[in-house]
Amino acid sequence: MIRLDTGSKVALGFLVAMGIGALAVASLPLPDPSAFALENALSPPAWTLHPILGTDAQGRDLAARILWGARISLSVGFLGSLVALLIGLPWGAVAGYRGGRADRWMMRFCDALEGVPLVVVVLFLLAILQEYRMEMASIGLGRIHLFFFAVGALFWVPTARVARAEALRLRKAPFVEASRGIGAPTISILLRHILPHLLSTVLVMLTLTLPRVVLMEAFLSFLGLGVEAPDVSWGILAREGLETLNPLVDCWWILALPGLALTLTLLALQRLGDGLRDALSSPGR
Amino acid sequence: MRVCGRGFLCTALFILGACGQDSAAFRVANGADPSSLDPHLISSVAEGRVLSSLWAGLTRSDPTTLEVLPGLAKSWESSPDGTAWTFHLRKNLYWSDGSSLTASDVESSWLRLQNPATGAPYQDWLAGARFSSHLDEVRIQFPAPRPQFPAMCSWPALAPIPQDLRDGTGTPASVSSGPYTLERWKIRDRVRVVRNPFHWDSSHAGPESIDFLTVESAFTALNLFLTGGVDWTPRVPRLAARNLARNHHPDFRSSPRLGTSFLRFQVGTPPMNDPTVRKAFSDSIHRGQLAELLSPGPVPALSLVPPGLPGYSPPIPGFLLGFPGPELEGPYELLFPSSDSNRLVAEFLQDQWKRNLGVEVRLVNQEWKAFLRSQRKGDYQISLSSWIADYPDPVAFLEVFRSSSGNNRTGWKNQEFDGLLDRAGRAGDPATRNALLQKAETLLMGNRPIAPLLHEAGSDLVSPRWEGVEPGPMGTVDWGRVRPATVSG
Amino acid sequence: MNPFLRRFGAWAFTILLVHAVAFLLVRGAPGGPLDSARELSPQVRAALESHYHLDAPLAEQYARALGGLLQGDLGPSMHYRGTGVSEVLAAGLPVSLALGAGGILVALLFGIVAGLGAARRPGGVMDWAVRSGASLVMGIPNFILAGLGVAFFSFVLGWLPSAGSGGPAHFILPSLALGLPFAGQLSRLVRTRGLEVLAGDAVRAAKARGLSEFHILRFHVLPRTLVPVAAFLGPAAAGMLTGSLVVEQVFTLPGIGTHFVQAALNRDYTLALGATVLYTALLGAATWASDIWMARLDPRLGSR
Repeated sequence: MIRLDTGSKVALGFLVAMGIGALAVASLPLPDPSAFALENALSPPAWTLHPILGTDAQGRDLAARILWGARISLSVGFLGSLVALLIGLPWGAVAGYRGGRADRWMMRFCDALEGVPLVVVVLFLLAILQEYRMEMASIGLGRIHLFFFAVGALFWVPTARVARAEALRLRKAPFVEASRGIGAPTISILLRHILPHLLSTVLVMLTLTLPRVVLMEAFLSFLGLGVEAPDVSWGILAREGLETLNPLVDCWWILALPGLALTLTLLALQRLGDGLRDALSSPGR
Repeated sequence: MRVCGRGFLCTALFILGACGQDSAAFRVANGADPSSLDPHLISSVAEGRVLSSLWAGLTRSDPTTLEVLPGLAKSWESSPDGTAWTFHLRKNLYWSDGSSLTASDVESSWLRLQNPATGAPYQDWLAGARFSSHLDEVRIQFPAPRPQFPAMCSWPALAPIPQDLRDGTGTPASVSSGPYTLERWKIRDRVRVVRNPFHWDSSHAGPESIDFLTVESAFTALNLFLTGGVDWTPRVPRLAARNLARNHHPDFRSSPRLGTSFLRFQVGTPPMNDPTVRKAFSDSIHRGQLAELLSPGPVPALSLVPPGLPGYSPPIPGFLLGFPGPELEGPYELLFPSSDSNRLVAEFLQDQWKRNLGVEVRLVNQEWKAFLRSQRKGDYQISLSSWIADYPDPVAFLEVFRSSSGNNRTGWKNQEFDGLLDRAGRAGDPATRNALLQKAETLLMGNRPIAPLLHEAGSDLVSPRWEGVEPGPMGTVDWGRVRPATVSG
Repeated sequence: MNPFLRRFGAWAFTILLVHAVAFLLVRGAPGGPLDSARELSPQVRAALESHYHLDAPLAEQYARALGGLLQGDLGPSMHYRGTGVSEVLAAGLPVSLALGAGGILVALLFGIVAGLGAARRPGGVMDWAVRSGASLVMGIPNFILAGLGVAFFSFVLGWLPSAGSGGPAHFILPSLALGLPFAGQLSRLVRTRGLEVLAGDAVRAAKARGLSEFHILRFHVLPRTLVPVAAFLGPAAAGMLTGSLVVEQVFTLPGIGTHFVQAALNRDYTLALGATVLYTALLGAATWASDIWMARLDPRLGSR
């Protein structure tokens, strides 16, 4: 069992609470996040149920939007990181375990891939697949799913490098040498010995990749390539909030509250990642 | 480590050396980069703002009243049947390098515009026309009457350009004819222009030099204005504009523009081939709320042509909220080009149709070029569109929906509508012409291949250090009236 | 084979590969450079298509683009009519390089100083401040960071211009917005490595000799932390290229970052391709430089 320090526990608690909020938002007593209500536009936060966190320029409830935004941003982050792991882990594990020529070629491929400005790929991917939205919609895929894949494609290489380093170390471990000695096939060694031992690395990588994916979502939203209306994400809220950052507008909550949710989540993830790494690398484990 | 320290120093020096420049007397946060300074190659409003300072037209339109005034031409008249126009140029016209500007320059420029190989967006304006010039007269003969031609001449595309640019040897605007002449153009940074002493109206005042800065984001433009980086921003972010309007801020002005946003329906295919369905979608939108959503500025639109054109009053069609509509069966889809404000409008419309018609409309956004392609191909049901007039005349809007027009994009073809526009062209006196145009617009609105939403407005912030910056319906100012503010009291 | 040649070959190969992929991607996207709000007349459309060879088969167009690239000719821009792609990129490159250099400067300066400061007394106030600061700048999207910077330095203090270009002062806020997130990451790396070094024998010996703390940090600890710093610079350069797209847009710096997005959106095929190739080349060069630096710091890596 992993033993976490207090700070990490607090971070984990925050993340779990945010996650539950995002999952349960549909059944919370909150207004529709995309319904216009111009009559109560720009209400400041108040101690009433609605609008507890205030409303935006269109009178939409900010609390609802932040939680619905959490749903999109966190699921993009989580699934995107998962895709990155699913590609990066086996790639790195195989490269590290096999070594030699295979390792060299696989890693050279990673080098080449890191040389490609992958933002280009994402920009074009989003644009092109937009064209086939009908076909995609018929098999239940939307733009949001594209995000997962695009983001997975962006972030799997660092994961692969870490996995490779671990696999290189494990290859020399006595229990792996023993399996190889009794003639176990490579695939079963990989599946039964290497990958399970990579799990701790996986946890750390997940907490490291997730914040980057969430920031990537914000970046794409800023460029206008974010999720589709009426969906809302933290990136879109942050972009909308940017409008309030000048002396002529005095509605701080439109930027501050979504920004706080985003930043706190990222801080919690970082803290948790650090905590996990310390816990996993400490000799007392 | 020593290497590292030297690296730091080099980097710092490099940054210092990368950019360093003075600033012009008057600075505008103009919007997107012009794609060229060649008046034959441009088509956007922001480009028009820059190029109309560089290129003088035969006519110009008064920024405020939209009246067509003499420019390089001191007078003009049409042939009795309205198919030919003769312009009489002023005496002693010069290019900015001091060489003479003649009627044959005008003729040759129009020939270049007309040649498809030039690749001019406005080539169709001169399609089928023939030209001749003699002394200070230039004559243009169209195959059909073109009463709006003098008004069209105020747009930079029809301005004469110098010999070297026509030959393709010169850099655009190195020699120009307008009140200003080019000092330099740095892509994505600025177009710097200085006063042209050879302009025909050289007595006119106006700032000594102008910087048209490339500032795409309205927030950035606002920040620049507030920190004194620009003197005029023609776009103000909505929330800030709302506060400025509410407080009647003296630097802020909002005025109507000759532009209309509307919905196109794809008339060619079901379900939008049914006029009652189009009527239902069009009439169930609370335009007042939409205008409030986008306030300050835009006003609800019931017609395509905005009010304010001299002599023309747009028809008021019968709009009926909540009439017994047809059975609506989805799925419906609204296509819109990705942008924050379009997104807002689309979300509003979705909400309206859900409330008032009880139908679920899916929103599909495409980035601009993909959107245009879908619209061209007619690959949509309802699409969010807008049109801005190039010249102050109702025809600038109505021509869009001719059967043969490439801008129509709705699949709506109506012989009667085309016939009315033709007859209006032939009508000699303005009152008859306007009556026929009004009839044509009534027909258009009755058929509803489009649903007008809002007549657009511009929001401007102008520094109190300057007076005379009063953008008119075309979004232009008369630079001759712009001067440093006199300190009073 | 000569390692230099091998590295150069890999670099050139990556560029060609990216060129081919970008060509396919940009051509695959719906809509084209000639689609505009105001329809071109059929004759003009045909004339422009033949001028830009858009009417030729795709394979021929690719061959033309590739041939141009090999000869160093990126063709005419399809959006900036009458201007060559090389001209457009050349106008923006110095600005982008200055911004990138500024970002790296900020990352190195703040990252190293803060990281060493934190490593001095682990658990101390300074350490706490650096670690929180680092987390914070890494947890805020850079466009918000930029906006906050403008709000504080331009509006509240009135010290720095809020946007635009014109002088060195215009680069301060953009460089900070670009570099600080990386300074955050770097400070963590430097702190970790610094703690290891401070606990090592060399430092203990130096302390025993009675050398000042500054001397120890500057001449014993700093040089030993530079290996992870150099290794970090390669990926950081890639991250900064991405970040510069946003930063250039927020501050309207006339660099090439905005072209990169805008050309793709405008379907300016030639400019989009040119910008992508330039970015790939720059990225490769940055990684290469970081590897060379690393090899000099630690000769064991030289064989790479």
